[in-house]
Amino acid sequence: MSNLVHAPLNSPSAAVSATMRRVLLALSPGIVVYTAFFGWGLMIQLLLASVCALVLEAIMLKIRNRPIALHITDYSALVTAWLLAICLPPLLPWWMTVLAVAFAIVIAKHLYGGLGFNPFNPAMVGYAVLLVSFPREMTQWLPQESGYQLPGFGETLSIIFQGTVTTHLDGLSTATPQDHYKHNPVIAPLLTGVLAGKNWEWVSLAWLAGGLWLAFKGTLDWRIPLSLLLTVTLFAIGLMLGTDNPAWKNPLFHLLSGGTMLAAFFIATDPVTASTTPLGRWIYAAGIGLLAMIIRIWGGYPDGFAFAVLLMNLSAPLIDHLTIPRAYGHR
Amino acid sequence: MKHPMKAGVPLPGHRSISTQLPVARAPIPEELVIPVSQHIGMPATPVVKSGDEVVRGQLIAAAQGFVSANIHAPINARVKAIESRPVPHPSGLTGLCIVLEPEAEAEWPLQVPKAMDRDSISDCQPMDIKQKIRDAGIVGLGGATFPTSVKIKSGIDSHIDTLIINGCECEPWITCDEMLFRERPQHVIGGSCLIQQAIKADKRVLAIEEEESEAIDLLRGAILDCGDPIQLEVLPTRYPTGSEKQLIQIVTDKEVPSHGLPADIGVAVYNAGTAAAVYRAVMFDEPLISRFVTVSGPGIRQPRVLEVLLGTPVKTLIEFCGGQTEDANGLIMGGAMMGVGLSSDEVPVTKGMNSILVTIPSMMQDNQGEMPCIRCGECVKVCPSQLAPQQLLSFIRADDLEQAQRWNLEDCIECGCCNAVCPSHIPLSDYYRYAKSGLRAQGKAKMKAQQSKQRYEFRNERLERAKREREEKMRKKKEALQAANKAKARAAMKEEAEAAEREEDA
Repeated sequence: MSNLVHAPLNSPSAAVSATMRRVLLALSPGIVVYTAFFGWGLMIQLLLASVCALVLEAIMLKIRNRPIALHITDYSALVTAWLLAICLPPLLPWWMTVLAVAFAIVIAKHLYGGLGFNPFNPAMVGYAVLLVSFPREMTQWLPQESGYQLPGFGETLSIIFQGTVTTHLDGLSTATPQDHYKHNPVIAPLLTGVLAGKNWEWVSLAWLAGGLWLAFKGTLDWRIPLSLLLTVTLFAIGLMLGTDNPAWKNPLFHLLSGGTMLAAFFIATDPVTASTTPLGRWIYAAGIGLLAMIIRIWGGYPDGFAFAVLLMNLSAPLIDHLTIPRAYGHR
Repeated sequence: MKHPMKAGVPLPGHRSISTQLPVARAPIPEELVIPVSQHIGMPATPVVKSGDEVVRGQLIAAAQGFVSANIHAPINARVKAIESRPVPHPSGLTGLCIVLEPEAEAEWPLQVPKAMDRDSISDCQPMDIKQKIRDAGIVGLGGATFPTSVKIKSGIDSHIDTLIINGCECEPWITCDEMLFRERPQHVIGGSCLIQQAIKADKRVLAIEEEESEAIDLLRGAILDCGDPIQLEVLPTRYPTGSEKQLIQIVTDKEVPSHGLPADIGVAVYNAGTAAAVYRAVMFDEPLISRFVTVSGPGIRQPRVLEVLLGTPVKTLIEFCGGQTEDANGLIMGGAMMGVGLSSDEVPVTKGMNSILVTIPSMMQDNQGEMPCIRCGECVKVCPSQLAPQQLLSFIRADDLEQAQRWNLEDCIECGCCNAVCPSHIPLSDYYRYAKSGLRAQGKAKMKAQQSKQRYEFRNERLERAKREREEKMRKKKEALQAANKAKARAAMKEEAEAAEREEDA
């Protein structure tokens, strides 16, 4: 016995991989609901993005001379892949998904130093690249009309991988609910399937459920979703009072449509790219909510969370710098 | 409890394994090695020489200066040598030690009475108490080893409203204060009476953790017997409750100012073991020659608390506790969270050594699995100093100590809570310890640079002045010369003119 050991001695129970696994688990209810309502598209995109992300992650780790086994099992590449796939239109051509994943993993993540060092949320970088490069494809969502027949598994595969669109899917090119209601104001009844676009609010509620579980587990900082959702709500209430658009008469529309819930619980909460101080996280998330609403209402894009998150990623270091917590003894 | 600590971490205490057996007196070794520096401040100076016979309690090294402490012979012995020996330090440093060879028939002294005489405590004068503490060489026994008499002096000089006796051993494995409460509660209470009398604190709080359950009733009884209004605070077991700053916040809701002292906010904290030592020093004139040491950890066969003569080699304690298990792989002095590794078991027990922990490999943090920081903020939640450990880490890794300082690195108490919760298994407190020593070095270098700048400027000024003075002198000399020359010339001209006149006249 001649070893020199040193304190602190402890075997931490927490692990990065466990955190990431919990995030994947929390995303699952939303994925199931999404698939139930919108068919196989998301599942195929998820699988494609996951395989692609893991392969690229391994290649980049190899090139960067990092221990591959250790890092590939941290599940962080999978989280990026899943978040990205969830944001994409379910019938997007396969090569666009691959391109987005490549941007996210290779450029946004590894070229900036890998896990923990990327200043921008990789999934949002991948998404934004597609959105500015292929605006038409990125706004093709499944039609909102009732009575519409979802494509089957085989058909979905061929649409994604071969680009074959059968005749009865002419209505493929449809605007998102936000766009739809921006330009076609109707009165939106609550929770009847048309509030936020057919069935979208159920998907949003599923993200909310998964997110609340993560907050309860302490995996995410509750300040971020709370601040983001509060900002969106306040903004929506203000909008409700000052607009003639009947769709905007209900603040719930903004909470349950588009990417609000997903962004609040799963994207804005990415700790690597968020502000790290308690006060800073309030400000950071409020900024995302505000920017997203501005883009959603007045911007050229149907939903604004991707750009809002990236813009606030950019501001996070400054926010941190201005919100240094008061340490013990500095009263 | 009024102000629960939200930060910190719950840690398994591992108390029961070392509290099964009563406290035993460790055997007297063949050789006691007593370092002259086992406290904060100036090392004591030996006042004996090799070959001297000393008796138990005799002063063998005297305090040097205000912040220092006396050192006494723990037992009748012969001074074998005064030389450099390994001292308890991770780097295996050596330091000046007085080596004593106990007499063959030397034995532990009889126990002092347990019962407390409240009236004779009341007769003691503050300055007498302070002097006796100073003479007895008492230092903070919780591990800080700051000379107690100095703290008493600052307590006498300032107004203290709350005296806290710290019985919270929040570090895992350590149980020596709990055993002290169980075996000698009256000494702790008596010591607290003496300290309060000396510093004239308005009220007195005895804080212990609820995990020390067996001690609670005994302490309650001792408080009742004493009759003084002592507030017993039983705090939830949560690391680092026993840290001075945190304990003050829990008990009083006040914060010790950054770079300040508890006395600045009218609070004084004394370790329970220190209080007991004060009692014995004042009432029985017993200098600090022994202490309670927990010998525990999964690597020791019979963990227990021992009463140990200062200077006893750690090896003796381990042997007395049945020796190490086969998988034992290291020694830590102090706690598992903030303790210091020992490179050898040949080092002696010193005044500040509250525990010897024998480790096994499974206790070690797995550094192979270290991942990048994902800034999850778990460390922020547990940091008792309310720092942002993840930010500090990134500044330190970027060698930006200035920024780390701006984010209050110096308020880090190195408790290691951040390590305990980090999902990336980063040894965070190592980084902070490293960076803090860097800041201290920088501070010293800055001071040195300032001093040399001052010296340089002063020298320049001096040279400049000398030059000016020289020039002035030259100028004056020149002027004087010129004036003299002119006068001479004028005189010559005058003479000439006169001569010419005379010639003309002639």
